[in-house]
Amino acid sequence: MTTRRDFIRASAVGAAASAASMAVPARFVEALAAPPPEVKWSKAPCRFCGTGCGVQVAVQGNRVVATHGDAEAEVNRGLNCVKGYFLSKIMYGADRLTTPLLRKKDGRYAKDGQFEPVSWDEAFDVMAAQFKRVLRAKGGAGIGMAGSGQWTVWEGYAANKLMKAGFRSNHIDPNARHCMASAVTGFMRTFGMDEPMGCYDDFEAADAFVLWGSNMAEMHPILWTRVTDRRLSHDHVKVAVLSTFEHRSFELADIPIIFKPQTDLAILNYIANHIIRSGRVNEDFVREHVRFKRGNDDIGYGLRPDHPLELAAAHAKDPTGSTDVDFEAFKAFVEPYTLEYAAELSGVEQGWLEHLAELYADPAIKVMSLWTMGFNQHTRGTWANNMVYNLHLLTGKIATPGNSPFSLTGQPSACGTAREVGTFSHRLPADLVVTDPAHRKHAEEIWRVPHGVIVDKVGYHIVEQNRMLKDGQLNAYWVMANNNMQAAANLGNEGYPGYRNPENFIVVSDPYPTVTAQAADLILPTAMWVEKEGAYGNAERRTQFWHQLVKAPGEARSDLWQLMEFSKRFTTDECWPAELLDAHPEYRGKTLFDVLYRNGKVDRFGPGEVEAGYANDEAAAFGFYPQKGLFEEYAEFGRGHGHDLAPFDAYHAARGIRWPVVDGKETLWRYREGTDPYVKKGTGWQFYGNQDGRAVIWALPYEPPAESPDAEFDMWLSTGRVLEHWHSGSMTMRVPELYKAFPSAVVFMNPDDAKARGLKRGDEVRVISRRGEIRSRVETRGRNRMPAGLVFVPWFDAAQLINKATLDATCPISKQTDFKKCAVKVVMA
Amino acid sequence: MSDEIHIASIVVRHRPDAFASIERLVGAMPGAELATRETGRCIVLHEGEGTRDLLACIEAIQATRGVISASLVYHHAESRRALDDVLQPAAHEDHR
Repeated sequence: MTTRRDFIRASAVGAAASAASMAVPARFVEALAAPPPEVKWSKAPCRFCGTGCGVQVAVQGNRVVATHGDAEAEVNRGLNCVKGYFLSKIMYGADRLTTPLLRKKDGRYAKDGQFEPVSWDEAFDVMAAQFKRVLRAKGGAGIGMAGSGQWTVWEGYAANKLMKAGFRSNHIDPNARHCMASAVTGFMRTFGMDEPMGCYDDFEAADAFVLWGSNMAEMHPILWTRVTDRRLSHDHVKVAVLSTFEHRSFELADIPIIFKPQTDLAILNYIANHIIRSGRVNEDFVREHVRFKRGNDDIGYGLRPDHPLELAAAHAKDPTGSTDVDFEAFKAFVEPYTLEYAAELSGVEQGWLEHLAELYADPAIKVMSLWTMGFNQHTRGTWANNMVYNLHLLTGKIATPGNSPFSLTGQPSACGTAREVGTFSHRLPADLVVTDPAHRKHAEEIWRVPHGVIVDKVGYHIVEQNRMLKDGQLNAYWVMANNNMQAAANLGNEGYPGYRNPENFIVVSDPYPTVTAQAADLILPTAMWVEKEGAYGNAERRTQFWHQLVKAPGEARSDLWQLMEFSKRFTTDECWPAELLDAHPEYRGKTLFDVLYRNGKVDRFGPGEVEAGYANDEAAAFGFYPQKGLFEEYAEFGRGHGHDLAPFDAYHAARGIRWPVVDGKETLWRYREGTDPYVKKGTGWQFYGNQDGRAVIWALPYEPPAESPDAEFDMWLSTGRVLEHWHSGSMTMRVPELYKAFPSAVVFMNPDDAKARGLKRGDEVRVISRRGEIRSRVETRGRNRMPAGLVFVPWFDAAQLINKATLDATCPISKQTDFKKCAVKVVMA
Repeated sequence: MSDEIHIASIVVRHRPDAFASIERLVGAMPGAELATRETGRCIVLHEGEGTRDLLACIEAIQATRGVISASLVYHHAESRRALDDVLQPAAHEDHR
């Protein structure tokens, strides 16, 4: 006799066994023969990080009742992390926004009014009037948008068109700027093409893993299980973990390395020097596939141009400049980075550094380098990316299974939407840029808009957008799918003033009343995740689709609907200059909706093409299937150019497909003959992002950080995440189980540092920088163990806005903020 | 008291020499049982009245020295009474 309990217990064990590739114990097998519980399950990618786990989503009526890891998803094979498990609950927070909210006084919009519920019509009327006020005064130059690596692919694409072609403004930039802009510029400078050459299959092929500033155990737990499986089932496999403090990933570390902030640059050059001095350069590979450049040094810190640090920097105005050099020059350049020098600067024992260097130097070891924010959020983030590629290129350990420099991502579609769709202020889809006339022309042709519509100057990046709002240069601003008030550095001085500047009108689209939404003038309630049809692209170039499974609550609408519907309120005459319309009179008087989305391409698939059994609110609203039309138009950019995407329908059938997809086949390792169809026979490797097919090794120095501790502000502050919460916590803080597990941010601190300040665990303290301060509590135990002189504060907690204290210094090349290094003092509250 | 029962499974990856302490921990925890094991990994089955117990169980395993990861794989919650229903496999053959 089998009860329902027996069956469910057996199902639980069965799912776990399948996820861990273990056999189901005999005592549970019998119960599994009973019938499954009655639920309707559909596939979707997880809503959180860039890993791209597949989940199965159970829907009952109009409600998501459960999720669990998708056993058929290659990425996670049935596993979920604790956030992924509670995924379904992110949509059901008690304070979910269900109607537009406008600041009003005496029945009218007022910047100093209180939020009142309004209809979509009133919301868009007021918003359009404000945008038109700015358009008349400044044209598109006064309009900006902060987007997201959490936008679906078509939302990012629709937004990019609306801004760059509709409003003629390049001031659109995603929150992904804070997250992996340095990875992008690193890829572009070394390979001429964005995104990793390898994929997650490298985890099962590598002999060594090196974590450069990544706490995978907490931030990418599912990929960490793959590293763990590899390490624990193969004795020869080694794991090196580098960080400025000890965290959970150190449990698995064979080579644990705590280095002083910023000195990773010196360690990287030491390893290059070690490879050369010990005669282990792969000379054939370097001769055939590599060239050398010396990058400009002393490039400043991405602060406002009149900051003393920028005025003092020799190359603040030309951070990307370079000169061609040869191998001998590179060899001489890294020669001063001896073991002794690197050890002294970094504070790391020489023995550990040698072990680490050997992982790269030993030709028999296949090595996977992994990094996230430790590298990317770095005032020399682009350099750090370039410098780790140097190690893989010197040794030829690249683009073959297990030999893989791999940039992990933090958002579900930082790759798919922010990067591939090109929602950065300098980009167009498929790695094209606004500064290249041929690229602009190509984009205008695909978009069917007149030549000259796209502006030729790089727009404001997301850090600059806050500065320009404050300075009154940017006056109409739409924030979508991000929480940039909480996320951006130095928010008291550079964030909040711009939002409350009386000249500016700020719109925030979000499912929840975030810190950013509360600083806005108009809040638009947004549909999220499976309340709409979507597509994300993960860190290994895998594009994944899902269907709309439930309806959004109340009046909440998807970002896609908001963008397209809003575009109906503008005509070309209001947005484009007269001479452009004189030359192309056929566009005159048309709405932006007609020009951008009713262009004969985006609207060419009928609502009847939506897969039977699934709703699609946007197709119902517009009378065509916009997701499919937008995707197919977008895919034109990449097909035949190394960014090939499969046909739309293929993605609804598959658990994701990795681009380039050529002849129906996905690509696992790019740039390598035999695994990448773009590489010509007989060449071995071709780094075809660069015209000569060669990757670039960069000679770049160690340079100090923008701010270091001194007598008054005597400690380093590093910020980051914890396992339970994702980014600013706007979703995970609303899941009761996750909230209870980690309700408030704390200051992780070394016990001796605490003692020296008369503090003990649990004491309330003030964390003070030159820019601002927060109150928090001291934690001297727990998951993170701090070295003397450094504190770590997670940034998920809206009640403790640590970005009041951080410094808005960026990598001058990538414009990505360094959230890992500034100086603070910690005193008893 | 909640009428709901939560059943969940957890995949634990650990250094091989950590198994003894995991076994001890799970043995002492009400509602938890070791379903199966191999070198370096095991599956813990947990049954309890709410997610608080479940999270506490995962946290305790995670905090055990030598544990590399503890991942929740499957989770199901429903009323105590429904769980006692006897299933009739013959009547549901179409679903198999």
